[in-house]
Amino acid sequence: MIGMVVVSHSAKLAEGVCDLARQVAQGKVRIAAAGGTADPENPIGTDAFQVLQAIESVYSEDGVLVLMDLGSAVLSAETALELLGEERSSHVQLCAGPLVEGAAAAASLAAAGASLAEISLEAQNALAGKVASQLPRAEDTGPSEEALVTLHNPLGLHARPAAQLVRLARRYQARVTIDNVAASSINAVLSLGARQGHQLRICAQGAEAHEAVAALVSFIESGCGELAPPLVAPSQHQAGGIPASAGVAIGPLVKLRPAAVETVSRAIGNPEAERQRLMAAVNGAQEETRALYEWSKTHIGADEAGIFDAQSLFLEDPELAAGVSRRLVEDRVGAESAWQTETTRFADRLAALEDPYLRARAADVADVAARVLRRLTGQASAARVLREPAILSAHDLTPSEVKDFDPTMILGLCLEAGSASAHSVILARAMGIPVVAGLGPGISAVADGTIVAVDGEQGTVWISPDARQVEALEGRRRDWLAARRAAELERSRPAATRDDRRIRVLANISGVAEAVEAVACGAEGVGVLRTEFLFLGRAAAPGEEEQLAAYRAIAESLGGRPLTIRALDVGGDKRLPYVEIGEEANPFLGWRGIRVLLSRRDLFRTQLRAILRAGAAQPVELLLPMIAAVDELRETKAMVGETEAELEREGLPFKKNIRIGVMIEVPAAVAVADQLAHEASFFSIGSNDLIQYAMAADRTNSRVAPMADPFQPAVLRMIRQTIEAGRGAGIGVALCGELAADPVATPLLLGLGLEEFSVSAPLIPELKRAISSWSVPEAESVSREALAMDSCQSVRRLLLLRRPSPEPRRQP
Amino acid sequence: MAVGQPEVLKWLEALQRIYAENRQWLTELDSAIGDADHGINMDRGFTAVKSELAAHSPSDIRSVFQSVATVLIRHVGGAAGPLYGTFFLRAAAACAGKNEIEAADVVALFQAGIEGVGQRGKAAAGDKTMLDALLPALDAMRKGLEDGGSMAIILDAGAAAAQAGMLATVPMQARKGRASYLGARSIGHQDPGATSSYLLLRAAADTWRS
Repeated sequence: MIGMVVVSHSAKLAEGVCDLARQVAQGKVRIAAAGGTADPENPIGTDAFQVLQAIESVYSEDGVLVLMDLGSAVLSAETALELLGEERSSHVQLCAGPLVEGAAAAASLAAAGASLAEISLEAQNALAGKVASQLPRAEDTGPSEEALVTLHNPLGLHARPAAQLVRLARRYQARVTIDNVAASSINAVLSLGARQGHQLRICAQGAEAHEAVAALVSFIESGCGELAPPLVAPSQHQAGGIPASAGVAIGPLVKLRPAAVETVSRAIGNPEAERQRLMAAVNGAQEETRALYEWSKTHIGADEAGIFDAQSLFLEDPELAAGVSRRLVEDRVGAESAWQTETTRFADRLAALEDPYLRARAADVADVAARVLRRLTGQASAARVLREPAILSAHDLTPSEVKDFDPTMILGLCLEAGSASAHSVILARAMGIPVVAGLGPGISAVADGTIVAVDGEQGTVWISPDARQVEALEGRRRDWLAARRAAELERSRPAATRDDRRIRVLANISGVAEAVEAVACGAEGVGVLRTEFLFLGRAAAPGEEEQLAAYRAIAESLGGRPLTIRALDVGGDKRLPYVEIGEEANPFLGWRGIRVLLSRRDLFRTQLRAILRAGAAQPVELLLPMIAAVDELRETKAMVGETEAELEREGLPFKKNIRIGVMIEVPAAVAVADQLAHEASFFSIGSNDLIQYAMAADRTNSRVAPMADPFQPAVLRMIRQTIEAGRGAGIGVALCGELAADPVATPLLLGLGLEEFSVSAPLIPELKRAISSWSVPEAESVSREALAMDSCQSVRRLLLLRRPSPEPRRQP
Repeated sequence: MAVGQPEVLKWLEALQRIYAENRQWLTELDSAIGDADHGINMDRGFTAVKSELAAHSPSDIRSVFQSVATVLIRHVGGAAGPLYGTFFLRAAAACAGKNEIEAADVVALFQAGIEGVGQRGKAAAGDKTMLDALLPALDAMRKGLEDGGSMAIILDAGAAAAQAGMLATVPMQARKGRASYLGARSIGHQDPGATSSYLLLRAAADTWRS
């Protein structure tokens, strides 16, 4: 049973409102009052403990709605939630609705069986009817106009936006009111105390009534100049997910299905031969499916992997096997045809079912059926071809699937699973494709061809947006594209803050092509060359000369810009046939990075020789992955010393005293950063791994992926500690995770004193632009505030709200 | 030096005295831009704290702060109750398991309390609130701690920064609480909340000096 609590400064008022609500609720809602204080001499006020007791007296998991009167009633109610504890307070909703009307509306709706969210919304809007009935009648002073609009500003209608609103209202020849108070009076507008989510009624009368209402509505919808994005109230036409890749796109939705397999007619052998062919294909597909299952289980989660488990059962289904055999014998058709007919029949039967869950299984059947068919026909998984630009929806994508896309055809991506830090999403971000991830299965119910809009900055997808939303979203898309273009123009300029502090922007690359791209995008060098590209997908390790040639080619294409080469980082999810790692219960806590290198000295020595030799004529530095203890660095330095002596003896030219940096990606390295700083030439914070290790959360596991948030206070403190340790020892600190490329994080990182950002090349122009819009003192104030917060949500909110001062950077 | 339960009690006694002495001043400040009850509220709250602790004073610091929080929440009407209540609630958590608190713990105590006030009131620096005294004080104390200052130096730096922050609220336009209704007319008045926050820090510096 839903509960309600009425909080008022006056005990009598609270009781009275409860009486009123109880009468409407007909015994179907538990209602309690928390009015006045316990102090008989000063009875007017609110008391968090009374609120707490009242909540507890009506509490159940169905939820409790709390309505409050003025000012401190809200603070007392919030304090009561803190006292109540996180678990139970998640079932309690504080409602900003009007006390009397809200209580009556909520009680009647709750008695009718509505949910907490529904009654809260209703209570919040409970004044609308009354306001409408009391509006002054139109007089003969010109046309009148009115509209309802929802306030989106997280901090409500406070002084700054209110002042702008008043200025705007005064521009028009009309008498304008907001919720019945004069829009021309700042005090009147502020006295509304409007908070986020409030619906405001804008009325105007006079010659320019229409224009005034239109202007105010669009101003309020656009966040009163405080928020760039025009949010729309949640509804079934809108889905919220994880903001994964910034940008706005509108277009027809296309669901990504396994590519259709074409079957060609061919001569048919005897039924037994056809059956054998089919069996082989089914067995092959079965293996593939099991591999997908295993991979998904470790990388995504057991629930999601369940799809492949079900597919595997489908392949073993005896009824299906019998049906196919019958067709082979009776219809005298080939294996392809028999398989296709039977599986299509099965999928159709599922698709016709009422149950949406089973209906969704039809897609899984089609998916696995196609896998068998591809094996029969020998066709590879066809590249996905779109005939016109569209927004794709999929359960999740693999990085290679994303790579297959033609970026000019994909306007945006909607993913049911996934997270902002999945590799596929990182790739999409690098390709400039807006992505909303973690939408859940609901998005798959949207029909192909439906117009949808994707806002990858807010994490929102609109389904069939109305004309006004489309207009607003298209405006934002134009802004986004313009910002990208402007950023591209800026690319050749070195990065600096508005007050001219130089910041180094480097690229993360793997390979020569990306080195060329990095220079084209305005990188000042390479912060991380991931050398795995040389080692993966081959039967034996590359030799010294091969590595040397590759490193030289990359250094040369950088035209004298510095190149930081990271030593091989295998283990974790990267396996090599010639590095026997064996079964590990926890590969990410196992034998990887520097641990492998120091025990496979043959591999490491060859790589060191190639790196030192490549540095003979080019500015090359060495970076060590997965350092967790000072000893590992010392041991490596000793090996570098030995390698130098070897090269010296052989008379080969090489880089003497190469600068050696360490990746800070293990919490242990942060804890001893001050000690490492004495031994290392520089630090490079690998935020992707650091976040996962710090939070003990796998970012590919969608259940815990939200924990692996770069704005977790724990992570921010580690970054601060690392930068401070570097500064203390006078060595440089770079950050090379995706966090470095997130423009939302730029002021935070600048404020913490980060002076080197290393990001994937296409993201460089935008990063430089973000850097140039902040001054150091502004950024420092942002980071100070952010570091004082105790949740990643509040940090994110702060960062989204804090915008740099508007004046553009002075050009030298 | 380290602060133990007796020193914490001394601070709270000092606060009772100080808010009683400054009741009139705080009320005058509040009558200019608020509802003229801040001095009365703070005096009432800390008088209740004093009698509660006289009747029953827990032996550990954390429980002392918890009972202060409870009393303030129950007895101080207006926003100051939940705000200062939250301050002591968070401060209590920061002192969990400690019989004596050193300079770093004291800074942690204030940090927890001040962050609590920030989250509860959702105000930012420059909104003309308690935080305009508390946030600079926290910065100064953290800096003092980083520089290796003694408890006395750290607390003095905090109180001095709080005083400067309090005075800086005069030209500000209020953006939170009842004073924000006054808009530009709130300019030119010192914020009573920032003032009571300054007094809180001043008292800590004075009682924990030696």
